[in-house]
Amino acid sequence: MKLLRLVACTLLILSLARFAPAAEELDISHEISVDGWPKPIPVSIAGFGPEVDATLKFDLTFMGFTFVAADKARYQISGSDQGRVEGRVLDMVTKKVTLAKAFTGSTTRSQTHALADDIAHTLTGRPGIAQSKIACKVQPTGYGPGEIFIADYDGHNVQPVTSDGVICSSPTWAGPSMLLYNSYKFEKADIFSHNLTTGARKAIARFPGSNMSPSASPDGKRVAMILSKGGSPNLYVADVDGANLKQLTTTREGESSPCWSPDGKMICFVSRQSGKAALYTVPADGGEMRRLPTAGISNPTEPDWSPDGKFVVFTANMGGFSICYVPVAGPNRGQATVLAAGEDGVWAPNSRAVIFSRTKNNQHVLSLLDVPTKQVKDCARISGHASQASWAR
Amino acid sequence: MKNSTLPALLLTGLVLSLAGIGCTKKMDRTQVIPYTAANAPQIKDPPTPPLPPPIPPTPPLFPEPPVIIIPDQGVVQTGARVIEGRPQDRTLWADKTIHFAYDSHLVKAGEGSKVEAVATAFKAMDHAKDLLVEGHCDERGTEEYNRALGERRALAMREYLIRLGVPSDRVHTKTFGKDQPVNLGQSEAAWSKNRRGEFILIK
Repeated sequence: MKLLRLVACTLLILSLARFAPAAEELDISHEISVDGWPKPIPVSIAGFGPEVDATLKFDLTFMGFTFVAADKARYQISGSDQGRVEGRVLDMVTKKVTLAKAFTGSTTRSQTHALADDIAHTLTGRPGIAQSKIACKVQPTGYGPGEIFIADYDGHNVQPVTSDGVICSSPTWAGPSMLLYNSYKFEKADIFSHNLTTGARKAIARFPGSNMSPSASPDGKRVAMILSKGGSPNLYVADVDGANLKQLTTTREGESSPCWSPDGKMICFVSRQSGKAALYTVPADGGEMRRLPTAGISNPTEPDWSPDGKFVVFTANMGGFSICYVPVAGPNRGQATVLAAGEDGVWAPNSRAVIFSRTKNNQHVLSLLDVPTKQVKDCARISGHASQASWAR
Repeated sequence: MKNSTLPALLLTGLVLSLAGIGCTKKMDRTQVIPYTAANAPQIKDPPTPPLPPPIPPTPPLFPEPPVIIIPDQGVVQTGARVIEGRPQDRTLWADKTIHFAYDSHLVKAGEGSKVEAVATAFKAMDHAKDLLVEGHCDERGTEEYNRALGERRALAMREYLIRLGVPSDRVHTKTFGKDQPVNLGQSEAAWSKNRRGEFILIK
């Protein structure tokens, strides 16, 4: 995808001289926390200018790293940004250079993201997220009309997608160059697909009643959504062009906020079937609704299933919104944990970071959460109120 | 509601009515299948006019004309009445706006007379006109949860209108979720104003 390939980086393997200061005692064990998260890897960073240094630390915060003095570091990251971003990683246990790269083309910021992703992938084995994209809703005020935008995951490089001048909501990525979203362009809520390369868009659900909350399957070929044409807001699935529509729930009380399991076989959603909001799962091809417990947490909404399949992040409404998560399998299934104040959390491709929205100074802002450490940092401010992020993954 | 469950609910309602079990408050709730005038239990107080007969199990609440796919427009339904682009009269029934309890879509007993007034007036109008019902929520739910709840409120109003004899193909629902509050305060006084349903005439 062109958008994700803006960083047309030329990679140069540098013949950097090995340099190996004596390391003190280093903690090289890969400790595992309660829910199986690897502990953050202690690294030091030196040699970069302020902007690259800050960007690199921001990126690495959400990919499993913590920053320490050079003599405490498991890996020492050093480099420069004179004309191009160069970086190398020195393993303080083996005393070997594990990564040495230079980046050209695009912007210094893009080069820095590329370096961060290479470092993360090399040292953690998980995919980097620093070059990934998000879509979100931006409203001039905290309610009413808004438009869909896409941006870098950290809120930079914002580009508009819609200019409908009506309520637009719940964008979802269906592949690297397609968005689905809700727009009131035709008076009421309908669901549209929007090709980001060609600009072409079309209604994929425009039935009588409201057509709401689209969620594209991980392979981008199907869509789960909430339609009210049957007399109640129920869960449906269809092909991404709207064909082969199938109704999955028939409750009287109504459903909302579907999301997909990473294998595309299950859909997690909110139902008021029991009289109040709760999380449920249902096979994407149809079958029985099954409750996903959220012990200790009431009024769960806005679920999102992690790409590694292990967790569902959701919003608890207990006199204020909280980002929570719950294991979907294993001995802790259904045992929910509160992570941060905020709403509408969505997993990053690395199944570690979550983007969500929170209110600061009466503005909705997008923020990032490193789930294992509960660290939170705000994305760059997008004008107005930003919410309902969807992560391209 | 699915067609298959409606007859069962109708039967349940009939059994309950024959057994003389009834609650006058429930008469106004859209969730409960209404009694017919003939077999309704005696109502003591407050006196509530008998509700019209239940809607027949067919056609479904939203008639479903065949779907076609048009290259520039995507999926559209043929035959459905279009409200987009038509003039709206938002003031005619502004005083008939009804209000809901927190996290509820039940039309409260005290609000029934407003729905009935709208139904009576609309039924007297010519068949070219349509009725749009809008559901709104307060800010205390999350965005898409409220979008569904607002739609459920609009559907409850629609069901009430249909039971009063308004043709189902002329009542349209729209949800605003929490996107269009009338009071920006953060108190129960403000929230109770925002949890509402509005009636709009489509000319």
